[in-house]
Amino acid sequence: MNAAPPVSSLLGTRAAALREAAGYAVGRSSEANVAQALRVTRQVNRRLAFSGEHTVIALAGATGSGKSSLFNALCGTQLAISSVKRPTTGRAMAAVWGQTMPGDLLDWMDIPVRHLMETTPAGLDGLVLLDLPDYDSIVTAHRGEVDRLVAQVDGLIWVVDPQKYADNALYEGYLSRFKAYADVMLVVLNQSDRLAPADLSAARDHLRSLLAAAGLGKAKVFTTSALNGAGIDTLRAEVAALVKSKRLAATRLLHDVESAALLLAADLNRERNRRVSDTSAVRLVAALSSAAGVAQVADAVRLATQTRGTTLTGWPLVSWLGRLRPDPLKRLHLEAFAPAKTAAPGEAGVPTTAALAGRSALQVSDIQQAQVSTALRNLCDDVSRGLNPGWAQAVREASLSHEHTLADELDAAVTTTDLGTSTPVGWWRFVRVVQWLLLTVAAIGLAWLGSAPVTKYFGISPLPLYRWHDIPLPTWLCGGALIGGFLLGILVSFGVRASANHRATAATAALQAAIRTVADTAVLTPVNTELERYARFVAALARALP
Amino acid sequence: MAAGLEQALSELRRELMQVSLPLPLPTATEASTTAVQLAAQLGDYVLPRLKNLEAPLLAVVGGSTGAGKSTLVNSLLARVVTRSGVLRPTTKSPVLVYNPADEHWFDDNRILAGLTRTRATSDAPTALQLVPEPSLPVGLALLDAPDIDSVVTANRTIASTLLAAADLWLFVTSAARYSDAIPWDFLTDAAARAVVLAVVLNRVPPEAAEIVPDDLRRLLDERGLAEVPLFVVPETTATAAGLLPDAAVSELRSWLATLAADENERRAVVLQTLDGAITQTIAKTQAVAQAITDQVSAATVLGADATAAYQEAARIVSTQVSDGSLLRGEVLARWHEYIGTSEFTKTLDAKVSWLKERFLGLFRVAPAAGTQVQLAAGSGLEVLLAEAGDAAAERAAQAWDDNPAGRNLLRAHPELARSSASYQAALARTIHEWQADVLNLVAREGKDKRKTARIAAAGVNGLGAALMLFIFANTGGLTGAEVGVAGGTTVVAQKLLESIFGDTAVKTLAQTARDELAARVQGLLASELARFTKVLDELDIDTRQPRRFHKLAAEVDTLRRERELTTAGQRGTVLLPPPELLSLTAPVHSAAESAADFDDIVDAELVEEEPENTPPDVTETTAAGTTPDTTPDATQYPTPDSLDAATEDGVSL
Repeated sequence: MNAAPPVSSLLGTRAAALREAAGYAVGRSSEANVAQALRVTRQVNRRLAFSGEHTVIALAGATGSGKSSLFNALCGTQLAISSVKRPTTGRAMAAVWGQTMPGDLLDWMDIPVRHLMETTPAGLDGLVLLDLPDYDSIVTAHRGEVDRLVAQVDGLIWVVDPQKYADNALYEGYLSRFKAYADVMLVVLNQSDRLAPADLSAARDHLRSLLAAAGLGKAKVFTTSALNGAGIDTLRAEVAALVKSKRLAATRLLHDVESAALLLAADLNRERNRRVSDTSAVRLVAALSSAAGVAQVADAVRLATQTRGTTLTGWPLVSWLGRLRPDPLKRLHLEAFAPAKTAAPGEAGVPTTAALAGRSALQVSDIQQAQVSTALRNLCDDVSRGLNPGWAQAVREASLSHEHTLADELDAAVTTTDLGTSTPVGWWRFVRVVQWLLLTVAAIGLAWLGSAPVTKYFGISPLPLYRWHDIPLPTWLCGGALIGGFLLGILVSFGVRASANHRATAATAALQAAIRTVADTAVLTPVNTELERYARFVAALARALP
Repeated sequence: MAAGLEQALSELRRELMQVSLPLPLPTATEASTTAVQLAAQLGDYVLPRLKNLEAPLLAVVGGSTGAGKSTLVNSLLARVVTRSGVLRPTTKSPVLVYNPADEHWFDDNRILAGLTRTRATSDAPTALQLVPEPSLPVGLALLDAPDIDSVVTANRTIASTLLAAADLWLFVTSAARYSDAIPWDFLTDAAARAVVLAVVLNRVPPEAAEIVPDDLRRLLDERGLAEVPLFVVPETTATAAGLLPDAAVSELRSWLATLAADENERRAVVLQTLDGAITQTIAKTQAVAQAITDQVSAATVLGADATAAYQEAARIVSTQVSDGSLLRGEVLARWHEYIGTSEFTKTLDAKVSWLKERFLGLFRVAPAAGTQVQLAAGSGLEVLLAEAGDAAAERAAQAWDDNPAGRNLLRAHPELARSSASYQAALARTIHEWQADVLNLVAREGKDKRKTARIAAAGVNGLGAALMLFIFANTGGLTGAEVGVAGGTTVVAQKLLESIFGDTAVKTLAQTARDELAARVQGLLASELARFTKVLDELDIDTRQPRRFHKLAAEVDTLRRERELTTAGQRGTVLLPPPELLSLTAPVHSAAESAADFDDIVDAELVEEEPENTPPDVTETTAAGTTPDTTPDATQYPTPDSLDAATEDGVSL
């Protein structure tokens, strides 16, 4: 009794793991394998729900092998009908040893014919022995019953006879499926009375070699004769040993769980990342950025900044012409972030209604949609390398879950990101002030120079013209200021270009961050969820297998 | 006549050997096996038999493992010619027993050419052991075949082949096996093919002697084998030599002797089985032809799916090209750069930028604005075509994956789900070539001297760009609101072009350029589609084969019917139990006919010819079987008493 708990608790954990794995694999791994796994877990639950008192062992074999005779011999009574007419047994029959009749267990197995034995020999307490129909006669209904019960019972005794022990129906139809089940099956060579002793041992050895070839070399082989009783006691003792351990049901179910898990684990790629790799994510964001036209916006920002800067800090006499050039940002309907006088610093990130309603001129086009689709496809190819087709398809569908809204979301990201263009660069104002100052000085100088006719008109003495190096001071002032302003404008233009580039880079970064957020919600998160699911599936399967 | 039938069957055999069913359709595996089996039967049996109707009658002793075939053969001949034993399966290689006078018929590869002849005992399933035996009557050969249902696959295959090549089946079953499914599959097939056969119920223990033969007789009647003779051999202890006692096998032996002695009887058996085989070949050929037709249809469906996917892609691209989609984004920006600035600043900009260009041009080459538009348009087209190609490949691959026939093909060629590796380069080249075409068109239009000057001002690149933009927005399809954006662009382009080339010339130019683009796109997508069709072509399904099969089958059928007219006049086409027993059996077809008259017997036989052409009607024979005259027991098969009477006629081994 001490050995019992480990097996059933092992069964419990493995069956739970298999159920979990099957749950993850629904819609992804092959339908048949998932259905089999679910069937096995259901069966484990049902069988374990019945009391562990009873062990169900079935006698299975071809028509004429003597199952019913053997059944009678083991029971010690003539319960089952055996006759020369074939096939004989039409429906399964149960003989129960013990105190109680496990009605619910037998109902679950759909065995209406049942007998509770009066006396229970030592060791057989709790045994439910079944006499099954055949699996190879012309009555095909028998085969269906055998298939059903062979899947449900705890232990199997395969009954063969000297004529039929090498029939293909046994090996191809059944034994090949039960390679790992050698510890819950017995093979009995019945009708041993038909052979001379030497022939019998030759036949038994040959049977052993056939079983070994089928992968069941470890299965125990017995020879019996239901007619004269040879070998019956040995067989009964072996059955009693199986029943006494009370582990047969759990052992058989453990094998079932393992087989089902192996089916699901066929060509699995165990080395999987749980998330999309950083390189793939970066590639996706780059592709989505180009689809959303980030480069163009950055370009526009650069040009706009440059123009504004030149207008502000250039030589005032000429720079006003820059206002005539159309603002690139305005053309893209991103003028919400142009230097609007009404925009308060705190509201820098809020777009105007015009931008939202009218959408940017970079609005969703088929080209963008095409670029987005290509980017998604490349991501999927990267990520699902090595996955089974069903899972790869699931990853693809996950990446397409936001397909219809992705382009719109990208566009919204572009329009609502603060491009940092509303605030002019600090030192421009300073330079502007200097430029105006110089202009004022030039104007003063000019006024000074041109003051002579005015003073003459008003009769005031002319203003003194100081000379320095033979050139009057006002001329110095005028010329110097003008030239100074001009030179300052040119000098500053380099600075303006630098600022423009800086602004463009900053805008690109801001846009890409916004796109990254969109990509995360719309694409990366669903794909990561799917990959996580796959990783969990693999982990659960590993727990379900020894 | 005979030569015509032989020739037709040879050709049919050749055709059957070239059947290829590569797609995993439900009918494929069965049809492949059928084709192989039919070809084998034609070569092993039908053709040699047609050529030599007078060759000895080949009786194949077949059945399950452990039924006692070898012991039976040994006992019939009263000498051990084939090994029997306890370990199963016993017989591994077939044993052919014949009278030495018939040696010349069997020592070459006339029949069963796939088996190597040998005189020594052998275990190899592909060897045929030859055993000359004087006690066997001339004109009859016995072949002890391996089993039909053991673990050894080679046995099952060879047994099938041998039974297909037999003139007469001696089908052996045992009291333990008489309701096994696999032997009944063979017997049902024999009934369908009207093979002449006899069933031997072997190893019947005393306790089963009352019940089992009747039960077996019932099963035979149910399956249209009511006329088949049933021999019961009891399970007795073997003699010292491992043979059954004479009494057990005497009835079977004398029956065979009777059969062997009567030449007409032998010929009748041979002809019936042969005719049945040919008829079934015709029917099964039709099934094979149908399977091939299924393959052709499946391949056609797959091809159509792939083509549809790419046609859809072409349609999408052509819509996108002409509805203004390409006028967004980059293209728009560059175009606006080209023409959007105001006149004043343009001139000023031009001069200033000229200076800048000259200065900076020393360091880098910036393409002119007109070329920029082309580049932008080209890259837009590239994106569209790349996506269209990938999407089409994905759609086609999805269609193939949904189709069970196409799934395997797709697994074998996973690269089909995406565009080919060279697609990107090919499409870049295509677009580049098309744009060059457009520029050539523009340049050619301007050969006229008056236009050359104006072209020089705007630049060929700029005009080419304008033409492309004009094509990209077929304003005929745009609604009023959209005209504002796309239309605005194209109106400018259109005005520019019209001012240089004139109204009609612009329309012609646009149409030519549009057609060029469509043709190039079509070619590009066609080469992608070719990958799919290539995979289908590699399957190498012969689409004309079904028709050839139907023609050959019809030909064989006609020739067979013609031959039948010459053979029907001969006596006894169905093997009934020996004539002495006829009075004990009820007439099979009609209670009205009495069995006493010789003429009536002939009538009954003629009526019985029909089952050769049509599948036997089970209800008919069972109805006959329940007429009051017939009791379903000992009278249905030769009893020891009646056959002793037969042997008294002087016919014996």
